Amino acid sequence: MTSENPVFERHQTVYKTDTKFQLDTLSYQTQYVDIYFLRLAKLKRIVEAHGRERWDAVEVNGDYVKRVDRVLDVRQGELCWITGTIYMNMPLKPNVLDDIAKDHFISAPLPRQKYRDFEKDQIMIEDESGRLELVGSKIKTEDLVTGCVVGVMGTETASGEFEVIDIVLPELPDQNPRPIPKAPSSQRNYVALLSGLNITGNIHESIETHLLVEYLLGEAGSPEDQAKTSSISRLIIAGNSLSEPHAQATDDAAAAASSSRPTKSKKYGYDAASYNAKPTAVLDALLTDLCTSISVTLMPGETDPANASLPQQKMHPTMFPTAKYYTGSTFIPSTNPHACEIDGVRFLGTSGQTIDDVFKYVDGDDRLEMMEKTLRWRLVAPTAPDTLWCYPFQDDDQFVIETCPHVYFIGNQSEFGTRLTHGLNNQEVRLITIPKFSETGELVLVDLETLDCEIISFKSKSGVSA
Amino acid sequence: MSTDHSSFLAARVLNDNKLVTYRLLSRELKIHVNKAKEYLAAFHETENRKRQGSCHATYLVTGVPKPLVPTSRPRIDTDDDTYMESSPVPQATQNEDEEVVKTSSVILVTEEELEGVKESLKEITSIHIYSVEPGPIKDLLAISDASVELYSRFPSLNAAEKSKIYGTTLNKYVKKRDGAPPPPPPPQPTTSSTYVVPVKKEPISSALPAATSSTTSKETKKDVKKDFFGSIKAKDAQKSRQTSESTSSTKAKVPLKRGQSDLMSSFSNAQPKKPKQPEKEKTPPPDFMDVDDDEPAEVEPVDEETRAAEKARQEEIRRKREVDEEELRRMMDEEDDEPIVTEKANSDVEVADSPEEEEEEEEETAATPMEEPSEPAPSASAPGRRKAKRRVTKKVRSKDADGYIVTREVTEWEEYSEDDVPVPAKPAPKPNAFSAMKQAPSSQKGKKGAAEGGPKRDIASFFQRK
Repeated sequence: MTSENPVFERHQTVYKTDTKFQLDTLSYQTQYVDIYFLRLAKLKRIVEAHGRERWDAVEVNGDYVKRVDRVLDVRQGELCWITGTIYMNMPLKPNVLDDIAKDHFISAPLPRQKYRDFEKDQIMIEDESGRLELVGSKIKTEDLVTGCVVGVMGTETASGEFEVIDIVLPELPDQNPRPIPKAPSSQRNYVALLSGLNITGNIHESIETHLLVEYLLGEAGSPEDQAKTSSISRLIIAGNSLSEPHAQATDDAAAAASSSRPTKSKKYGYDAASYNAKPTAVLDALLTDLCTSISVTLMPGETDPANASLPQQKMHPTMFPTAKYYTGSTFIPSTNPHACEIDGVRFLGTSGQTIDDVFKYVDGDDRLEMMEKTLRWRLVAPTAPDTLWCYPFQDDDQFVIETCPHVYFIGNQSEFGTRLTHGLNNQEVRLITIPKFSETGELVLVDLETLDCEIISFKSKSGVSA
Repeated sequence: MSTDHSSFLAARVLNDNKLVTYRLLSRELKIHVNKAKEYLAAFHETENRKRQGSCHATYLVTGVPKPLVPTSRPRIDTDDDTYMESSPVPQATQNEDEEVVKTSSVILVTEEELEGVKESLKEITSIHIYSVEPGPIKDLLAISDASVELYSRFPSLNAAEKSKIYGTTLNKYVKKRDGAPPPPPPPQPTTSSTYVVPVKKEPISSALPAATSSTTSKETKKDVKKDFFGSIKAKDAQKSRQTSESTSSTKAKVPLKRGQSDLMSSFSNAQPKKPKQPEKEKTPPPDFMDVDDDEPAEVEPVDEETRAAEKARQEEIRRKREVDEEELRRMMDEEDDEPIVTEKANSDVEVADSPEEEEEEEEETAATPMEEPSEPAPSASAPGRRKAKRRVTKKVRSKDADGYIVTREVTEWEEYSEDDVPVPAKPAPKPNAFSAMKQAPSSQKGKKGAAEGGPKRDIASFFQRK
């Protein structure tokens, strides 16, 4: 029964938010075409540099490979290479015309897992001048999505298609060197990543969530655990902190049915009375508790109350009536693709929509592979604005990755996964898929010095039910 | 100290059949969490020595799980996550280049399962008692209930204090922004407040006498002034209120007051005047308004029964008045049925609201019929004035079935006389003494109604769930 309990002090890190994804004006008046234009303008130069490097001296049957500036200038039978934006023409992809036709469906078709259909899909390359269909085994096996900018080398066939022999991607952007750890691992320095709390605010909140909070606050566990906790300098919540509101909707329906009040006038549109404050209240309480000890970066996700289109903007402070008083210090609401620097280590991540959407285009289920691909395409959200909602950027395509992150994370994935990937110029990126906490109870820790990952899983076992 | 904690635990666990977590104990007794864990363990041991099975415990185990424990990822295959089924070999490639990730577990376990969990761990970092409860718990959700209770009962302290008292990891750089402090926590659950340790209660009770004495003195002062104008109705309403005050002001409602902030009080003071500006402002003498402003913003503590009684009585009065009005109205202006219709709709709304909302309603009910009785007077006594009607949008605030306050804008017709228009704000005496006399008490009544029931209560109850 010792009375002296060690006081642990939270490890501090320098945090710099990249404000790149913050929107100043919210004008949805404009068309999306500019995004593709800007993207191509930005990436074409880079792709062409890679293309030159790769193909300039290449000779096939005595012909040197020629660069063709515009897609439409490709001559039949001529070996050449072109740069453009990929467009995937997929019959299974959602289509705005189908949306309109949907009104006349007797029963709506199920939403698709994947859009890919090798038989029917057409892969095209386009630039300002026009489109050209790409064929060949090379392009079939290369997983591409609408919106990525690539360079392809080949010839135009008699049928007017472009037979692809080789392909180049923009590859990983340049990376700032990571700071060399001053004191060789005297103390570990972690950043915790979390996603998918899915707080419902129903009668009971999952006990794991409370364990998580207690652990992060350094209250649970032995002094040993508490010492470890204190080395976690900050927490990044990558989306879906609140669950989808469907459960609430059914509650409302039931309530409405039971209390059929004659005087209640019928309301159209949003009814403020049906607003359920509970999930946000619970989240606010948890965040307030956390913010007294650890810095929390809160990214909105698909199910969170923020704008649906990427980049999702910060969740509004009024939803956090008590936690908001920590903004400017430990409470950091942020955008959905979120970029920041923590002690010189650059983080980039999304709440999962970007990879979930890429998943629909490509074969397989290797999320890390897809993440790596998006990095090599230099696009955070390549499929926006085709199948992913996004803001119609006018001046700059913000989804182009300009500086290579050191840690690239995607939230709300089915399971934890991590891998190191390397670029052509010795870039080293830690890829992490963060599992949904509500399903796995897992918290990911990233060591800022080594970029190694650790998992802490929170579980509960009840004697009676087990 | 030891008597404190054991008596608290005995009271809560054994007498009250409630669960106590270490966090709850540490908050209740203002002790370090590690200390609380020790106390819980000691209590559990002694009680079980006294009588086997009289108290049950759950433990929190942290440690490193054995590799490939089948339970470590229980839900991967069974969940209905949409991504899983589509690909034939989902994880084969992934696992190869994934390095082994250090995993640690934080497991909450009931005492029966403890051994099993211990065995499943390769390495145990710590085991500590998490909660003590009267018997085996079926569902660990009961614990999360306790955690929720923790949030509702103990408002978050500032970071430094929290770490000093409870041992939360200290973060020196936490800065709580200035501004209005967060709204008071929701009212304490009545059952749990019975076993409050004296330590906790001290500050409240010491703050109590000062607060009450000041309010009561002000109250009486105001009453005197009101009596000066007084109508009979106002008087006996006051009387009842006073009695209710005297009975209840010394009682437990005080914490509600304390929580209220300057900002909120300024809101609630501003509130009563706003909605009624157009019709009411002209009549009350300035000093009367002042009194109103100076009045403390606290919710007047009204005893439950007296409130109900008063409510019933007022309801009766109001109903009678409404009937009278209706009759009068029908007599006065039979030719235009418009106001009658709106009036009806309005009263409908009021009647439909459940009785406990009447308090809120009081403001509106006072406001709407208010205008009416005074109308016939001017038209009868001062026939020279032109009678006109105008459309007025009023805010009607009511509570709906879900307990949310809904503000609706109701458009209704009201009569006004020409000389009201040019000087709406001036409290100038009316040309007709009789009508002035007639109006004074009634407007005052309205004022009182506002002071008593409506807006102050409103703003507070907006934050405090009932």
